[in-house]
Amino acid sequence: MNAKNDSPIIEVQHLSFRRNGRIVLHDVSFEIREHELVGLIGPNGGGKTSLLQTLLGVLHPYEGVIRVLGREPERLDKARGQIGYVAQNKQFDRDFPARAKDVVLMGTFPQVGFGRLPGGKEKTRVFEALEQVGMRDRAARPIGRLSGGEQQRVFIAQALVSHPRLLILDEPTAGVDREGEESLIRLLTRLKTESDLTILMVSHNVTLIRSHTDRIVALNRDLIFAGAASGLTDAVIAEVYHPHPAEMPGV
Amino acid sequence: MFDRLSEMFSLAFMQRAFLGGMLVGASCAFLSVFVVLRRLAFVSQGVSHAAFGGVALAVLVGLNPSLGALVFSVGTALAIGGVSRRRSWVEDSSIGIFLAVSMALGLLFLGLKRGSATGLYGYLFGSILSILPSDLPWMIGLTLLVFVVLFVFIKELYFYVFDETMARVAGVPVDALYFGLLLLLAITISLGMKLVGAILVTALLVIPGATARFLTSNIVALIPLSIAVGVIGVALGLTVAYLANVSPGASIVLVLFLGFLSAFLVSGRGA
Repeated sequence: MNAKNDSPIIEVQHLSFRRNGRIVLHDVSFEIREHELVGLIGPNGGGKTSLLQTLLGVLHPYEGVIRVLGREPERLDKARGQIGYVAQNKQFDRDFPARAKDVVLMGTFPQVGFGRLPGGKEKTRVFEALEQVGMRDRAARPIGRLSGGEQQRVFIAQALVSHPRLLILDEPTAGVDREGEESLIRLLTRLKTESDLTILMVSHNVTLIRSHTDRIVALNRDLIFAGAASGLTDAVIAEVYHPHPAEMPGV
Repeated sequence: MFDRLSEMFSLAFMQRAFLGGMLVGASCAFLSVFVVLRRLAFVSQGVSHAAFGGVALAVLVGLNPSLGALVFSVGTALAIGGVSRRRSWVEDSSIGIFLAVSMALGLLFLGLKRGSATGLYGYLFGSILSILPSDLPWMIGLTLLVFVVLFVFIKELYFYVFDETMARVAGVPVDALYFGLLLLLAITISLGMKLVGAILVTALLVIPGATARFLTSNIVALIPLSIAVGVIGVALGLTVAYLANVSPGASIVLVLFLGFLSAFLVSGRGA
């Protein structure tokens, strides 16, 4: 069941989340509309990954209201297939016996269902997704033999293979060189237009985020900024990366 | 040589040993792929040693030792899973603890048992030649169970062992798969004990998958290759044991190890 086009694809109202008694997110509210490329920035420990995992229904319980594709994250059910996710710092075994196309195929499994094997339709979609990220010619390469940037492209293809409406990426440019970083962000900009995607991306590279995204959400446990990328001033950036009061000595 | 081989295949107990051994070897080898990819070798070691405690308790109270092994294996596997799911760092430690406690209980139960308990030697080091006709139906049944469950969830298991976080986000029930794997491991261990014993059963659960990994980088070829290694290893090990008149359990494990060593050298990873 799709959300209406004019309604936000992500809606967060007064979200607070605690982990081991510690406040990770405090009273955060923002919206993301369809076809936006949104950058999520903030310092380490500022709550970025927790926010993403709450949106994905992995972390709960939380206080406040969250709607993703018009539903609570824990009740996404089949709509979960409309969300593509690329996790941070993938700790997979570099010797794992899987080729790039095998990794992308895994993205189709939840839609195929238990007890069934992917067929020709799924395999065609795998090559389409690899084509989209410019990795079709490396489909048969073992995943561990690809460079960091190439691996990220394969994981983006894995997220794209289920034809999602929303793509969430947690630091996709981490461990990728500057050239690869530019190339990845250009890829995401192109995918947004070509595939009608809404993209939420975490990054530490503020310059890159500021110049390539439509809107920015800046977190340091509290919401510091949510608005057009052009509105992210140096003063706001300084505030975002300033130590949170709870981290200051004596507090 | 051919006379001895034809003599071997004419003996009813050897026929049962081959049939039972190859069935259990196949299910262990299938599971072995996931044991190796998910790095559950130490878990299987812990569960197999725990099974010994169950055997000793069953002998003490006059129950079927295989049932005791199954109950203790399943209980220990679930306990290890439960503890390590709450605190990921304790998986390793909890295995060490459950392994030692179960062995200690086994020794305690043996001490309480009046008279000889020599039959227990078979559960420690295997007694494949003593497979009874009545053992075969449940060996076939449990092997079928392992195959059916693994086939039904095979793609989800691959996703889970490759990337647990992504699999969870995609809606794959990773906790259920983890406990399911542990349960199958426990069942397979209680089967494998009959072949090579509690001490050596880990070999059947680790070596075929590890050997196959050296031989292929193709995820699809991994399972048939591992099963082939397991089945051939058991058959060859039994044959060597019969011809050389040595312990079948030890012979099976050493034949499997030679296969592993050859694959390691052939793959060039030994360089």
